[in-house]
Amino acid sequence: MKQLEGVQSHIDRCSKCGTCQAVCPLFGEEKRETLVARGKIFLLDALEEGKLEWSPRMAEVVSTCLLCRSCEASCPNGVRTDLIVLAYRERLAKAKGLSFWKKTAFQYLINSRGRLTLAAKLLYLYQHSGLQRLVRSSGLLPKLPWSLREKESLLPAISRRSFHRQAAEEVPAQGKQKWRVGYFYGCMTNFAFPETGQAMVKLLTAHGAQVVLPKQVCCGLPALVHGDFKTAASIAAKNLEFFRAAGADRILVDCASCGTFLKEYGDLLAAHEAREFSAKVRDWSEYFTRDEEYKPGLTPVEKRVTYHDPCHLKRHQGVSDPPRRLLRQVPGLSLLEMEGADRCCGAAGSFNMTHYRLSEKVSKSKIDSILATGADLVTTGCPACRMQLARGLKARGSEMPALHPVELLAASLQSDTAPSGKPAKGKRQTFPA
Amino acid sequence: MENYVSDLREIVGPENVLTSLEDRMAYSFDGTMETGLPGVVVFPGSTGEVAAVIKLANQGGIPVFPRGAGTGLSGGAVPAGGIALVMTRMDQILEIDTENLLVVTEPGVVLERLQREVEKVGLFYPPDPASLKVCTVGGTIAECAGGPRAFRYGVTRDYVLGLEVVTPTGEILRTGGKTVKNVTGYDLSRLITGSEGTLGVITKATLRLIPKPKAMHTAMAVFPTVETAAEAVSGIIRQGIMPTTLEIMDDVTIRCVENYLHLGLPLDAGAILLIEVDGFPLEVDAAMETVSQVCRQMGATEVKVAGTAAEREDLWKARRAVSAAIVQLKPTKIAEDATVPRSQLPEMVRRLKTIAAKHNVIMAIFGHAGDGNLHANILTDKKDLEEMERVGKAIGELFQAALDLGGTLSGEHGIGLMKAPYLVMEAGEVGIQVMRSIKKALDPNHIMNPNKMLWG
Repeated sequence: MKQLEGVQSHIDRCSKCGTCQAVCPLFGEEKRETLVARGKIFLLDALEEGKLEWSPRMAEVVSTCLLCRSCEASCPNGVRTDLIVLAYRERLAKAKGLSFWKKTAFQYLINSRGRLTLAAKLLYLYQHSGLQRLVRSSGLLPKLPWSLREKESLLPAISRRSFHRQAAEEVPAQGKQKWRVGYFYGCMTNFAFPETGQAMVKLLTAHGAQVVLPKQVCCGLPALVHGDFKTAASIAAKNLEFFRAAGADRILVDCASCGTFLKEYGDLLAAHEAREFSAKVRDWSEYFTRDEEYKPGLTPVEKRVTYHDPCHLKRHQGVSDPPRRLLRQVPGLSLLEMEGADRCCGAAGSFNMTHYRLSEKVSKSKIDSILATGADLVTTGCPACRMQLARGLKARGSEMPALHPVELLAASLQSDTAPSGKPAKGKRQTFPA
Repeated sequence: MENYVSDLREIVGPENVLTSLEDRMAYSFDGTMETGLPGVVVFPGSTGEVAAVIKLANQGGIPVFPRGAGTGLSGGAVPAGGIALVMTRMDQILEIDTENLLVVTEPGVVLERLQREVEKVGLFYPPDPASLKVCTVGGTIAECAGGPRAFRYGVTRDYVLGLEVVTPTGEILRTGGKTVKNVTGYDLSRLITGSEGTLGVITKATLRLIPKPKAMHTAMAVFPTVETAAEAVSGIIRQGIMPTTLEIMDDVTIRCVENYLHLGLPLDAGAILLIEVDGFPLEVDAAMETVSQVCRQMGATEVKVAGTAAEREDLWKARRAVSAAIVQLKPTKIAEDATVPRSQLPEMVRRLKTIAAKHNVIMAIFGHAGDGNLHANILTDKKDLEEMERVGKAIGELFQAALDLGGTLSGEHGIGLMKAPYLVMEAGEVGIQVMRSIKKALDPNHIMNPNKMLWG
């Protein structure tokens, strides 16, 4: 990636002043220099100079970062620690190779819609055939190593029919067509939250957009953040081709993480076509504040709502005001700000899987802030954050639902259902224990 | 070594002892470019644990390097083998006494948190080093930290009422108390404050608080030369005003910031002053009026006064950007803080510029004009050995210039490792001998932060 070429200058620019300690969510919990930007940078510099090697501990240091970019936002020298960490994860992957599980996930699973759909089906069967109940009640899980019980609980609740099976390939605009919008719905909306996809299509078409839903695969970010740049690039090229064939004025994303990476395809592939693609990518909230004026529906949504800023939206894309502005326009809805709305929730992609206990600690502060607002529900434009928040709330005995903002906006368009976190079709919004 | 590590694990718990090379290396530095690898990193959780660790170290002749957040600017916390003793687990504010205006705290509390907590009850703890968002209270006491507010409010030592200290032999010493007046015996609180971890480990502190000022006004004034800016500072004080903040930036700094942020700062300016006054609302209104007048009379080409918090932030933007702006020039920044009597400030700036030109190094000068505490920042590249040699010479001459003008080597960063070779220039042989005698009396085995300050 082009940005990664400047990594050494970012390492050189770190003055080790330690300001990153004030904002790093991981340092806040554990108070260890190896967790915070300046500590990592110092060790990577030592690695570069040959004073350290890729030991298991060093690999752990490089893997223990949320990539939330909080440190950069407060760094007096603007050091991009996220880019440094990514660059060294790639070097680590090259030096030591990826684990069997990561290799399978990136190079076999997420780059193929067919295989990923099959995997989702198997997971659905596990969750609904009674097998999950059996496993959970068998007393087997607590006996397994590597916190497997906890990790099992992190798996998304798979929807019976994935979104791409529910939706047509093209949905016409209501009224006069103003835009042709390609919708990149991402794996989570596709397999776990199809209701977000339905709400998005409804909102778009009601605003004069013809929506195309081309075939697509995972955005590739999971491969990138674990250092497999080659697979990430080949996945990007696939999506580029799918969307080129579809022809769209704008490419819309409902997931902050996918959006971040789609906007970086241009840099990653360094090709004209990829740059054109990236220039068309919008987070849904950018689209409804920059390209198309949002017209609120008439149905009041009488809810007190608090909004969580996904790191990938606020700091990676610089988008924090648009979703709030849109939510405030929903009739009946009142927006309550939580303390530290932009503090990472600890999910950080698959960080909660790889660093379960640390992620739980970070999550706890977030849940405290949410509960302190007294809101009826929490909303966020990132499905991974949404799962983490819902899970954290449930673990604390709260029944507060976590929704995508689009679902709230779409709810005001209709008169037959009200958003409650308990939509008509039952199981989709329940979360695993 | 494995022997004493297992004892340490016993004392503080195995999860609070780090031994891998990577973990030790992460505690081998502070906010300077000095480095040194500890043999083990230990996080004690109580005074008792600190005392047990120190006793063990004293018996075994193992050096101990106390550390807070590791943000110091003189190499004071940098280890060399032995135990890096990290105090961040002892992070409780024990008592805020609104009747007697004091706070009792553990050393690992982050300074900003302490300030926020006391401000909640209308009180104020003035010391404000630039690292206040992360530095620990214990570290600021050990280094006697200052900050922009020092001209009006003094430095850390002016607020230390009493301390609990684990001595280098592992005894628990209590100094001072809860009263502002206390002349009972030697002033051991002052001895420990600023002793840079060479005389013991601070495990508890009683700090004096004052009522929080009700209002604050901020102004920025642009001057053609450093002399006119310094004249304005004296003029303001002659009017009976003690500003909270009097930050000055020289021409090199201004140009760096402007090239970096494009704020519209005048590139031909010789100096910019950032001035803040605090007090009761009516009082600060009148004071600000006088400040503006004096600045204009002394030749300021532009004076901006902030009315709102947002405008205040705007005025601070240039000052806050200094650090980021100057490292755009060269990657390594050496922050010196030689300090002169205020009246000598223009002369010191002149001499600094001559020294920089003579050795062909880039120097950005900014700092606290009220108390003559200048931050001469040399921008260099630590990998360029030839240049580093010239930098070394420039630093030596910079210290001499400060002393010639009746000043001191360090206003607030401390001596640590970096200035140890120069201490004798200021303290003299007798001064050094007295300090060494004190050190020896308290630390016969020379285990507490050895080779800092006194053994350059």
